[in-house]
Amino acid sequence: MAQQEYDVLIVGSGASGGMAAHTLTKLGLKCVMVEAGPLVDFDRVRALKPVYELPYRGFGKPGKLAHVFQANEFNANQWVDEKEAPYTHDPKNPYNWVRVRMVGGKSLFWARMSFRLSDYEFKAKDHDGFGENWPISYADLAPFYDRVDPIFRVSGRNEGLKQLPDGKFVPDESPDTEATLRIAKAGQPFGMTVTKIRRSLGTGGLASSRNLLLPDAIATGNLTLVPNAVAREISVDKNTGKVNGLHFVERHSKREMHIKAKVVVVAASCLESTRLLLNSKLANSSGALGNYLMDQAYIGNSVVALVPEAKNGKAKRGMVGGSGYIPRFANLKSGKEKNYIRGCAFDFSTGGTPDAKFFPAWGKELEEMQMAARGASFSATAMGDVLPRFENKVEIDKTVVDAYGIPVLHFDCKYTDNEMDMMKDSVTTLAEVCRKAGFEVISTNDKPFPPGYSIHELGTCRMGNDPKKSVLNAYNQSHDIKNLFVVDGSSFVTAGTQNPTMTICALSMRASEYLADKLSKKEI
Amino acid sequence: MKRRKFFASAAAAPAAGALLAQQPAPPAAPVQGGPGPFGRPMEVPKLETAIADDVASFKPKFFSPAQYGSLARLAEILMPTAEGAVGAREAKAAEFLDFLIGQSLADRQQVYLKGLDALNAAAKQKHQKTFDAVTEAQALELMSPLRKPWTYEPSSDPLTRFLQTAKADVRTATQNSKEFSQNAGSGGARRVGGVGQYWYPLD
Repeated sequence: MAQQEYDVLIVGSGASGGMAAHTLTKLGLKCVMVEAGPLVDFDRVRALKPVYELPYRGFGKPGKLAHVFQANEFNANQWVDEKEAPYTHDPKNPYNWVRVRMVGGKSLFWARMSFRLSDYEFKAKDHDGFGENWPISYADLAPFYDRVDPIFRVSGRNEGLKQLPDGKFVPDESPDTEATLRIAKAGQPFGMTVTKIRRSLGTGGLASSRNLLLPDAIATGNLTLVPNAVAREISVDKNTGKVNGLHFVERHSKREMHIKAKVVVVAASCLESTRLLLNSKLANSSGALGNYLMDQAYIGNSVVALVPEAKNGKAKRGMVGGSGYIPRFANLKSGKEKNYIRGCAFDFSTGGTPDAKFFPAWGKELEEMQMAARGASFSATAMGDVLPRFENKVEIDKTVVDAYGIPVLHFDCKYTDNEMDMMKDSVTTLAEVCRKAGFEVISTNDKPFPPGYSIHELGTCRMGNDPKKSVLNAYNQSHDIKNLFVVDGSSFVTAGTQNPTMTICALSMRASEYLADKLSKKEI
Repeated sequence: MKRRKFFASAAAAPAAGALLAQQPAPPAAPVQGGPGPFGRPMEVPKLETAIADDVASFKPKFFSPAQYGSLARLAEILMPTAEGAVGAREAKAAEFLDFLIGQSLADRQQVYLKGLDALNAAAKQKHQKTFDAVTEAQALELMSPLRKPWTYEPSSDPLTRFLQTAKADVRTATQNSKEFSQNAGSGGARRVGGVGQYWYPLD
């Protein structure tokens, strides 16, 4: 059978690849999408089981998924097996690289937190002098956010916050609880604001590329979806210097295959995309490829407190319950008000019960303490902005290959004083706010989990106006190779505190429309 | 029939503590049915099964007798048997932890080995006995490091670190046991030890 040449090859089927397919196919381009993992039949691969039927009583098989703190014995098989797809790092500097390989990617499992970046991130250098600005501003991306929000059905409450731009929300009109209002009031002197969590509602219980983007793309008749295709290397036409397709490994048979396309869109998730480019030895005239690795410094249960009036089952209706979000509140004026730059955001929930570890007791005493605290807890997760530093990087480890013979990534990444000082100050501040709100603080933690834990890896293939300092231009197009685009989180210039999926989708949509326009004009 | 009803009701409720926040599960499909030979629907009866713990015992072999004895004693204090309920003893938590820790990576094994040795050393120093043989009051005094506030950074003191680790592990091993889950007095069906959405290995 003759090999077909497609207009666009999309590597990856998660949020960024799905949005590229959604956009490009509607514009009439013939696309083929490769996904390293299978198309999962959820009815077939999942079943309800009692925990005692699991071999390890829910603890999980020791040593399996050592980097995936989110894994448990129920969901262990949904994550990438580190023996099949390993990576390396200095044991002293661990990196938790959490991956999903199946059609839909991580968008099948994300927490759906749906925020926009602001010019505090896009123009961060202008604000505090560190690093580089993005080559775009919020105004450039806002129209695309406006179109992404309705697709994902983002719920939220518009607040007019400069550091957390409003959106086209399904209005969240639920009242704030008394506990939330107390935090908001106590936080005001510290510059804190409290809003609703902005969350993708999706449809049918799912808010994924799998159900919100790919079905529409396939319905156009313009998308061919190929699961179980593990990307090895992007191929190049030696005569033109342009990319012309992809070498991949069929996952089951391990056959080496090649697919042809006029344009390649890399959307394999941040670090798989960079790995593919590094293994392909492409798009790195700047020397920036693989560098400036960021994520969000993450602390679950950073502040755990009790709402005294809600203890012993005395919570009145509307006192506790639900969740909220505290956007970045530090360094919003001059950018350098603190002994660190940038800032941290919190999401929180109220009305739960703190884990047993927070109580210095055991046995019956512990049960009684937990019972008294049932439904009275406040718990906050901190997410801090990690600076883009050249020395935080990934590179190819030439000594290790994965199950498909493809060289793996080596990580060299650690947080610096800026992140540590930021998290310490932010957690201390929130604990103080909780006390001023009348809560009993029972635990604080200001030490972030290892890099990667947030599953918000960003950078390593960043955008920029200067081809000597960046890999991509303002439209996610390679400076070096005009028919090569990278549309996922690897293109970020700064990380911000906001969960990145909406920004990834907006960038992918914007880049895809630019691509289609340039292709129609034969300018690629 | 009761058991089926329990699963059905548990399936409708969130599996607290068992799963991290993720996408809600679509409704589960019927287990039975599907095309059989000659295109006719195939009906396969669902069979009730047991788990190994129902019918067999496990001989601890990772810890030394002294270590194991102290772990078992500690487990029974951490998760005592309340009236009509299931504690660590009935859940065979210490036996399970002997298996689990024996399978674990070296650093986790060391937390237990060093901690149990430290616990026994402290008991011998103060009471000339290993921990499993001290009185209730003496045991509680030896466990006093558990009165320290829990910290995210593991304690540098081997005994404190072990006690905090064991407190969590004994609790999970007990609450996720079949005995606990099926004992109404333990509240197993309502709390931890419930039902979760299990992912089979992907093709």
